[in-house]
Amino acid sequence: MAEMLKTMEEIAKVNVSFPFTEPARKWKEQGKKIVGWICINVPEEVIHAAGMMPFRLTGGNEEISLDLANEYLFGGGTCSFSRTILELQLRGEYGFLDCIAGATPCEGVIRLAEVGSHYHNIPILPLLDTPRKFNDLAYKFYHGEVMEFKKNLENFFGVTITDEAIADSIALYNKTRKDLKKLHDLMKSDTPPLTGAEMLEVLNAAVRMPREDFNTLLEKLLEEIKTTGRTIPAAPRIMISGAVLNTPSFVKSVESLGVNVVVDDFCNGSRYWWEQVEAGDDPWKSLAKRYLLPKCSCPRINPPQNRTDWISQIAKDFRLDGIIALTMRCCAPYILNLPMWKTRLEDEGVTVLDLDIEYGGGFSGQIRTRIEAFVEMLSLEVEI
Amino acid sequence: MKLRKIENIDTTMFEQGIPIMAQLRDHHSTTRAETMFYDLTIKLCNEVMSAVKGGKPFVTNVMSFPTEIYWAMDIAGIEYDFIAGMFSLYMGNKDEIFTAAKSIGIRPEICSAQRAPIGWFAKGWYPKPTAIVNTSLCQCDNCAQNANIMGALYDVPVFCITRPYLFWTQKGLDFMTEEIKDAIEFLEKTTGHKMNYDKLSEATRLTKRQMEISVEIHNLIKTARPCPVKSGTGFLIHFLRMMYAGRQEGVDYCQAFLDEMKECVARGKGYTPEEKYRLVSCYTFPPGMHSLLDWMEQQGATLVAEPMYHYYNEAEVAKIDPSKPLEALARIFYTEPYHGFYGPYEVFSDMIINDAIQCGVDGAVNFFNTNCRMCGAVSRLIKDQLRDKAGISILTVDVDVMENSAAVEEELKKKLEQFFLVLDTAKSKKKVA
Ligand code: SF4
Ligand code: SF4
Ligand code: SF4
Repeated sequence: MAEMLKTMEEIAKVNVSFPFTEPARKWKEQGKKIVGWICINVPEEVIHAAGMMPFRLTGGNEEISLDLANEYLFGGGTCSFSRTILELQLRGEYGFLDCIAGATPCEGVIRLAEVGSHYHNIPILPLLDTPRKFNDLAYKFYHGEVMEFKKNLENFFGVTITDEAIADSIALYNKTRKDLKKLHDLMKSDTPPLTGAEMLEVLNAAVRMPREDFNTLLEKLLEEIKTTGRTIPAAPRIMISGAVLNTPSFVKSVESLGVNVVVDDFCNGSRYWWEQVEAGDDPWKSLAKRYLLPKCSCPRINPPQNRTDWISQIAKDFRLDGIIALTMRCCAPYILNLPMWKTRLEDEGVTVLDLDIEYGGGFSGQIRTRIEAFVEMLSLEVEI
Repeated sequence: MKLRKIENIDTTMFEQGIPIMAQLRDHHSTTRAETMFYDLTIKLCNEVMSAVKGGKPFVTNVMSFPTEIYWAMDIAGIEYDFIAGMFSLYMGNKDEIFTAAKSIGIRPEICSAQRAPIGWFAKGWYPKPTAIVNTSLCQCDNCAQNANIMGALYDVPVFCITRPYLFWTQKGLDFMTEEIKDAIEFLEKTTGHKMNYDKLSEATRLTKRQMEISVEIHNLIKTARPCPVKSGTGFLIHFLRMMYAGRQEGVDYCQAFLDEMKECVARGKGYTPEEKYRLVSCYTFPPGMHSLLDWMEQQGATLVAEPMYHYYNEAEVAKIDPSKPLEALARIFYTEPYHGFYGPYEVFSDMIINDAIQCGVDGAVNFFNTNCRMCGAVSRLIKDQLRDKAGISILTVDVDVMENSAAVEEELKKKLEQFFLVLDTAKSKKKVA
């Protein structure tokens, strides 16, 4: 058993009191604002450059009952990710947010924003209209949306976002992405420095605290890994794939069956840090381009080829033995996208386990049995 | 489960579906427009089959692709979700197609409307198209993604039109115009046929004409008592307009629909013997439940308002300019009330509320498709808005658009009976007040 890293303890502490985390509480005590954001098409840098703390709306560390949310957002068609966020909003647990910023990536998010704006009292800014494709036209369109978003934030809070401020924020967020990439590069080793569950703690903390402080923690973590030489024993290497996952306990349970989760493709995981905002003459244009995620597309993007290529590349770079595809009930983008890449990855020699889950759901007996069988199969393949 | 190219395509099943349309016409049509609907659907299917057999380009699309383009490019085309759904509803092969869809990973949470065509492709029953085109309709993830699966199954190219969320703005319109241009380029490349822009202008003029007649239809629905429209026919006129967008047949159909309404008004008669419950239908009444509709009429219940199919905005229709065909297509896309239902919730909720008020309804029914990510997801919001803004009670039921079994029908009757009691009570309270 590898020894616990001290910095990991600090990082895990951030997530304990979710949603109103300790760093968020301190921020508010200073009289500063927090803007909640839904979906990775919302450029956090704009919120940061306005002097506010961006805070990602997700569920917490465990599954919760969705009784309130189910009243307002019909569960037969809406994913449990959206309903979990709505549930927390309706319970008042997100009451520390000054407003919410969202995009229009899929119906789950759109309906969450629309229903939410009627039944809870946190103001929602006009949604960023997110095209479902990446080409010049979409990019130009999204640039307009990002500019609108800037204006809406400025008007709402009565502030001005300067070009200098946005450039600084981009640099700060690029630093996060660079260091998260460094951390993931270390996961390519046969004996990675972190467990997948720990990595998820890191990723969760990133969006629940002031960015400057997170970057400091991340640097410290990288340094500690270097000085301690901490490693996790080799095991079959897997990726967990899905729309979004925020529960480290789930990943821990998977790993307890004898695999190392070395990477993911979640929107709160690889898709969050994969692409830098590229330097250009106009920071707003660079933001618009980056936030359509041309290189690491969401399942919602057409055509799906980019995403298939990306996943295939991850499999090679991280030398994956297998992928567990966590399909959240009613997540239509993921359900309709998975078959598009699954066959290709299997043809390339990566075993894919397709598993139904609910967002935040625990490690049920059935899930355990299926993963056990999968791990057994992988172990045999690895031995051969 | 693997998504592999289908090697054996056999269109027998598709061809067997065509005469079933004729049987439906013979058994269920009680109006001239209904007869025309089935005849024109048969005609389109035959056009598809003769294109496939004759080696002519055939393109298939998800609902709401601007099919004027087919006509102007001399391409045969049909909507896959409509035709696969219709055929399976009446051919009794639902289990087979849904099992086939499941075998490639398409779970039942995907609404049956969009799983059905995937099943048809997975079985190899659907005629092989030259290309597939779909639209995001802004929000429906199923519409935006399912064509990729079908394209992979048949190894044919796919193009998706992305529609913005705020579709009525100038920015949204400009974006759509460009998307339509790209779609045409894609079709020119894949079919080898060139766009005839004069023909496209003419096609947009004909669609505009369909819409103008549809405005008249809506105006008559609002004013005439009793209601001169047969319940449930909004679904038919909508799909006919989509299938025959930009074609004279579509105009003729709309005209026949209107003429029959006028005849009803002249006779002072509607389809319901005694109009007791005037209802607004918020979404699609379960297709295929003909006897339920008959039963409702006997109970004195009429679906007078179907905003999704009839709520045209006259001022917006007037803005369609056939001399700028691409922009006209974008405008048509936005003016179609059905598409309003795929935008921000407020847009379609306002349409429902206004239509309910203008048509003087007693109550509302929201039969939304099980697992629908659109109308279903926000059914509570619709209910609250109708109550708060129009003082109207609503019956909300999720029912699968492809489920027309007797058991389901009985269940629906029970719910409707209870709802009628609620409406009776509301009416007597009003009288007392
Ligand atoms: S997968 Fe994409 S669309 Fe879905 S929640 Fe994540 S960022 Fe949003
Ligand atoms: S991508 Fe899937 S999980 Fe994310 S909000 Fe949309 S439907 Fe829900
Ligand atoms: S029924 Fe709902 S989910 Fe299905 S295609 Fe229609 S709008 Fe989309």
